[in-house]
Amino acid sequence: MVPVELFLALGAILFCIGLYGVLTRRHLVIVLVCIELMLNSVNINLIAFSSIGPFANITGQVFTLFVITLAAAEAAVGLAILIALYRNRESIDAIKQDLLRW
Amino acid sequence: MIQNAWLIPVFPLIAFIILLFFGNALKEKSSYVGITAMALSFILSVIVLVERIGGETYTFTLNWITFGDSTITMGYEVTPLNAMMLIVVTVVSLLVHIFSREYMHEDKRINVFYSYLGLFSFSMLGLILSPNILQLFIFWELVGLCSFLLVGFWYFKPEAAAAAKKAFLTTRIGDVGLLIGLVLLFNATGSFEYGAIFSAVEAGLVNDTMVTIIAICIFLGAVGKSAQFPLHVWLPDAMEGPTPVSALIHAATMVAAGVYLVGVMYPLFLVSSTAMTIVAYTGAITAFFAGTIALVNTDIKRILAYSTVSQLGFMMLALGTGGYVAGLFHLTTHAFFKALLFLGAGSVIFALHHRQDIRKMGGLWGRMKWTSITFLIGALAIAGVPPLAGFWSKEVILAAVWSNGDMFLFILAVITALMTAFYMFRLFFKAFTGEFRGDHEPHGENSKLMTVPLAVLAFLAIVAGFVNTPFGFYLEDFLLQGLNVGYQAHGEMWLVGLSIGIAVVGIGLAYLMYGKKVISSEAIRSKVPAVHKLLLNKYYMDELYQKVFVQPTVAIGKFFWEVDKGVVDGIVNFVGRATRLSGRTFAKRHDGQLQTYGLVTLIGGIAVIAVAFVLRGYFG
Amino acid sequence: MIELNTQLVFFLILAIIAIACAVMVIILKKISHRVLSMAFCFFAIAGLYFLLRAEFIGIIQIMVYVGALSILFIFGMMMTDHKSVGFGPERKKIHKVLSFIGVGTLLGFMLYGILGMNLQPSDEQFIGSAEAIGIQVYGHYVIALQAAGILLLAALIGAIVLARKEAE
Repeated sequence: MVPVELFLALGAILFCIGLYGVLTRRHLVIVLVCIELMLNSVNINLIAFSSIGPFANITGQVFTLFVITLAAAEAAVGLAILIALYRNRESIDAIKQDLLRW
Repeated sequence: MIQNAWLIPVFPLIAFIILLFFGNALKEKSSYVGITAMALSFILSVIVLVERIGGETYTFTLNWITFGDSTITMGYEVTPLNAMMLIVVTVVSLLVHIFSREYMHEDKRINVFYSYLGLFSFSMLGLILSPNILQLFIFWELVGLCSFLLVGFWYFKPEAAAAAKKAFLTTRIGDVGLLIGLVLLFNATGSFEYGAIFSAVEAGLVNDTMVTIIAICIFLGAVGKSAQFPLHVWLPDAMEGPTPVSALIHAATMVAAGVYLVGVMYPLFLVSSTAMTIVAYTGAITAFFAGTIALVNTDIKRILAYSTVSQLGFMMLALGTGGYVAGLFHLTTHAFFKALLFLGAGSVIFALHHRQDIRKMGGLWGRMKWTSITFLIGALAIAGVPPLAGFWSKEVILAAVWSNGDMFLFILAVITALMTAFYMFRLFFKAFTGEFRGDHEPHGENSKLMTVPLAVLAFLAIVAGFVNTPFGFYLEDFLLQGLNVGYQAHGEMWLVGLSIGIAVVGIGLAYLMYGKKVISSEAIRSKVPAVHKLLLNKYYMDELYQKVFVQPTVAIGKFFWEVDKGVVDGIVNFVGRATRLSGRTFAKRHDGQLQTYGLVTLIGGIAVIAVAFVLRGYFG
Repeated sequence: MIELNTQLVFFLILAIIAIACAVMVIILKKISHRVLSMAFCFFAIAGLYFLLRAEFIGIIQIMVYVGALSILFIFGMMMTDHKSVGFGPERKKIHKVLSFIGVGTLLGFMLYGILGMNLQPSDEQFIGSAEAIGIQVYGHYVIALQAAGILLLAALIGAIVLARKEAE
């Protein structure tokens, strides 16, 4: 058996890589990809606990299902926004999207 | 009708309100509003006086504020003293209203002028009707305000604006004294009501020192308002206002409010002989002092102003020496003849296109018949020539001073009376006789609107004295109803003779110097140049105040201004600048970049976790 | 130390693939390569799900992520300016350094907590069958399922509305 801690550690590592990508990558598609990565790292946690955790049960898998649904919806809407943004501002460079500025 | 005495001040107030809102539309017609209101007030005052003569004191009060065991009331009362004052104020005010119709008709702001007059009349009448000293104080401040507004009526003249400011600030010194007196009085007696105060004081509930202090504080208010030495400096400057205003406020009514105040609070003063002495000496010194300045002044209005100061000093002297009736009697007669003199002067000034220097007058006798005759009557009255009003009142004052026994005061009073006769006739001879020395011929006699008030006042100046003559002390009997103010001295024959003698000598001297010119005034002047210069410069009082009070105050003000600018503003500006600087710095960080925000959020979150970790361990 | 067995070997292989692919998502130059490495990363994660005996979720993972999302991202990439990456000025170095330090600190905290947790593992592996999931989803979580359906519908409509500006 693989100890559950290793799965958790893997999830944490993937989460941090995804977070780093969100914070530093300029291409907004990649930012979305990194967000998917972070969601996946959460899924790993859920499945790991559901399968080999101290109180293993089916709920974790059910929730993973919902998270996947959410991720799919988010990706779809996010990409649609990106396309609209690209059409309006002719760039999907994160640095150029500074309309929130003072 | 006496129950409706409160209507007397209400009429001018209504006039004031009407003119406040519709003055611009009414323009010159606003004078009719004012005159109507004053006429109604006058009629009511006469009715009230008549009823009061046959009746009792009427008091009406409402509870205003109640706190603890004390209640402050508002209301009005009709005593003999204020019934008399009502007549004086409404008569003079009505005549001034009528006179101003002509005098001010060229002024574009005549409606404002009449509204101020209305407000003043309201305040003055309210002051008189007040049944307690707190209400009196409120109206006291209101008349001060009106005085300020009216002196500064031609505010575009720098002198008028400065004079208004001076009048306000100088009287304010006295008002602070009065306020302190009020607080002490309330503290000592627990009431503002006249009756309660007097009964507490007479019952000995207040110790003597305290009574003296209170009396002096209240007297300080009177000193400021009635322009007594050393706060007299504002009154001559107040002559920058329109002449009818000078007649109404600065001769007949408001300046007499100080005397009235001492009269109202007389039982309190009687308890403290120290306070009485101070009142007497202040009055005597003021009378003498102002009289000497009037000897050499050349501005027709300022001579009258100094004369007013001098006469007010006389009234104070009378009150201070126990002559309660004498002081108030003189107040009444003086109101009439001084208003007459001022309006006469106003008539002259009007005819001469607003020139006031008596050296540029002369020979007006033939040119302005009515003005000249009435002015002469006024001058005779103030000089104390029998049987005019001034003679009777001045004679009673001299009797009161004599019976007091202080020779110094008596001599000062006699000299002042002599000077009064002299400078009034100096003014008369210079302005009305001889050759015309001005550059603009007067346009002849003024219209009836101006001469009729003069004639009425002249009539009053002649007959007003008869209410209190040795042949019948009607006024004395009336005023002393229900009052115990001690023995009222009456003149003996030799005093009457002395009075007449003083008047005759004064007038004669003036005639010889300025009428016949057998004694050269130049010669006297050159003999004592220092004295002349001293008098001409009003004893350098203004300069002294400038040096002793104004300049140090300004210097302190400048110093604190610098402190304010440097330290206080410095701190405030520093705070402001620091805020702006930090704002600008953080605004730069606020660059609209999603990822920057994300990073900042992350760092913040980590900081929170770190703090929690250090404080509580990993899982709390 | 943990004893090396077949499961652990598979776990390590898959984990290393997943981490490596995730790192490549960040550091590769071309967008298409990045998306591809993302697909591989998801694939490796799906492998981990199989390892954990969650076969249904693993299959869903492959279908949704590797299949649908990757294609979606490739479309998204193609419809936007996929060559414009690297245009304009770079982010400041301090931003990257701070991000790295921040993320590293976070990871440190998490690993410290995970490794210090000392969980009691359950005796046997729980096997989540599709049937069990179905019973749960259509039983206990039916409202959440409906909500997820509405969410998907809203996302569908929203995506169309946002993206169809040209049609006007």
